[in-house]
Amino acid sequence: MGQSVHPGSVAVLVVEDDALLRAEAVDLCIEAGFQTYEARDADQAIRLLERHSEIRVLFTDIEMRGQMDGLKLAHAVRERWPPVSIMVTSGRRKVTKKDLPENGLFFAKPYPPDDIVNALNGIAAQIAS
Amino acid sequence: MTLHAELGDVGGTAPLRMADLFRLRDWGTTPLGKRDTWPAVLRTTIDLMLASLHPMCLLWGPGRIFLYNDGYAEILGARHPSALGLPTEDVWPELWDDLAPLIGRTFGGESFAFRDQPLTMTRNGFAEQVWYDFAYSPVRDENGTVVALLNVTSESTARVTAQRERDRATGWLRSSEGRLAALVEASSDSLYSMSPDWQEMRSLQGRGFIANADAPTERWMDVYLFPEDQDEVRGKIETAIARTEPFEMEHRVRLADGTAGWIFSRAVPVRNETGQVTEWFGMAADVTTRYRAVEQLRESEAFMRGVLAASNDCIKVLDLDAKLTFMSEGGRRVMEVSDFNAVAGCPWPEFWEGVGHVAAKEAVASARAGVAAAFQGYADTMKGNRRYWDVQVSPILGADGKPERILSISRDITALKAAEEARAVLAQELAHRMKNSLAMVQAIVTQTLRQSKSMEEGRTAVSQRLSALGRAQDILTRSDFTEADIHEVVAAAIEPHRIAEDRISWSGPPLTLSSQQALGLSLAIHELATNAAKYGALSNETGRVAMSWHVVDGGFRFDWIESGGPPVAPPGARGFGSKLIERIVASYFEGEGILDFDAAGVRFRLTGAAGAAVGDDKGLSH
Repeated sequence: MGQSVHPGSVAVLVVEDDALLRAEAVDLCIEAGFQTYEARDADQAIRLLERHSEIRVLFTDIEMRGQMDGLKLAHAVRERWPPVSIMVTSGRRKVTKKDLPENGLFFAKPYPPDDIVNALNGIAAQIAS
Repeated sequence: MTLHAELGDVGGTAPLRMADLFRLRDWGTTPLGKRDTWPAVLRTTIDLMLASLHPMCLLWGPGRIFLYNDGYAEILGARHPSALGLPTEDVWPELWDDLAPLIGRTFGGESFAFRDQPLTMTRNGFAEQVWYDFAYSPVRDENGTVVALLNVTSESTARVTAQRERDRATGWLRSSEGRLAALVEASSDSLYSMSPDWQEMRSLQGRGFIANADAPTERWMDVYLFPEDQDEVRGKIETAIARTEPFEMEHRVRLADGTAGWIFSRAVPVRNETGQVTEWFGMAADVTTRYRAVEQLRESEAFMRGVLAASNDCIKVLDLDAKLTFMSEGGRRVMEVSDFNAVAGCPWPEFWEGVGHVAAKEAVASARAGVAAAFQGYADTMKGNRRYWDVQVSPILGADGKPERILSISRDITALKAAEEARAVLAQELAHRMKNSLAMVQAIVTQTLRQSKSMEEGRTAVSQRLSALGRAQDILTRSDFTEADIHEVVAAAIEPHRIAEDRISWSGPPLTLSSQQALGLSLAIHELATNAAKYGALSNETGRVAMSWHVVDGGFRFDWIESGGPPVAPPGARGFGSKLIERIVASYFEGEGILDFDAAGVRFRLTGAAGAAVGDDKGLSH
């Protein structure tokens, strides 16, 4: 796990059940300078959020095994941790603003890596200001 | 003395009897002279005449003096009583010319009889037509000389009337028979006569359509009936004979030209005066044309019924109020209707639910306006099975060109609909898989490039990894992208690295892998083989690679064991290859991967859960 070099020590939580895609997403976030946690499902994600209050961004896939999919997770996180910014991705579903918590962002798979990096930087800047 | 004075003496109003008139008459003033001077024969004849109940008259002597009795007085009518004692010529002036010769001949000794002479008499207060027989006979004196003519009469009115009645009846009968004969002649029906037991045909007039039977024959059944029809006809005949009821039957016959035809035959028993049946008289009408038309109609109806029954479409006829009046047999089958009466008269749109109900009502309204309509929708069968139907609704036009009824044809396209839906699902699924694959490709490419020392190295590694992914995808394509057999996956993954048949081996039980597992194992084998070809057992002439896998209690283990290669040194830095093998692939098997850089040869052990259910593609589990 790389060290965060970003002001404010904003940490990102990547939730993705495909190990290959998760590995790449994690590397992308680390490369952009964020401290990064990873989870393969919603249960793991919530356990990490409970333990690491520095997590300020949830970047989650929608389709996952388990009781809770990415959208439910996003809403649950907004409920319990309102300051956490929400980023959602899916290769299957067309997600609209209505489906997401307020100010949530959606990225269709496969996404351009730069879009993710730009979004993360925007969130970090907002938190810093 | 006048006659009236005489009458007064007799007293009362009773008519005077002739005997009295004879007695009271003053004969002395007549040519006959006084009574006591009359010859014996005259007296005797008058006595006889007056005593007789037969009307009689006597014409006496050359003067033809007219004398008569009570019976004859009635014949005289108004001429009585003045006729008594007058010359006959004066009594019957109008007949005299005719009578005189006959009277003369009677006086010459001849006798004459006249039957049924008509007279008009008023004996009962009104004029009536009567008939009398007259017999003229000569009356002779003791010398044999004809002295008088005695006319003995008797009334024959009753006989004449009866005779006339008979004549009239006979005449009517004759004309009636004539008319009947004309009727029979005018009819084109065949006529036949059978013996009381029908054993013998006495005659048959075929009227052209069936052969005549001019002489009695007992072979008539063979002549007119086909063998297969004889029993049925015979049965009807026997019933008619047993009950003495008219025989009536429509049946097939052999026509005059030998072909089969149909007749309507009816025969009635004819009885004699003792009530015994003496013959059966019958008529037969040729109904071949009508029968054929009916038969054709029946065939055509049966054909239409067959067509309707054969079709699996639900063919219905509705009235203009959309009520069911007919449903084809095939339709009852597909709609699972066991008793049409249960649905007859029901409003058809009620069978539809939701949007189908609205569409059905609109289609009916359109057909009623003369325009065909079509729609698709869900409706349950009578047994409650949900079906999807393609429906055509069209007007059935009457003779006036206006919609009279409505034809509705529904085809069960549930399977088609399901296939369509499955195709839509599949198309969506493919789009998802494509995106998923692209995301994998993207991850592989960026991961590879991130750790490559040069563009050249990155280009080679990316294309090799993608072709390994492509080969695994080939196997998955054959199974709708859901699963693959491990043997096929291993063989395909190792194929580009096989340098000699016997240096690479693999063994293990058949096992189905999920798509992610198949892709992951392919990539792992590719990484291991690439490494072995560069640094390991496949880099010299003698090294070997053995792959094996086992399934024990649902647990899966895969081993890659290199031997005979150059001594192995652990790599300085772990690249994407190691990450792929140890972490990513292991994750697909819910287990772990251990890469061991043993000096004798590289070993890799993957343990995890077996079966496609584990690590099943997330796309399908949602």
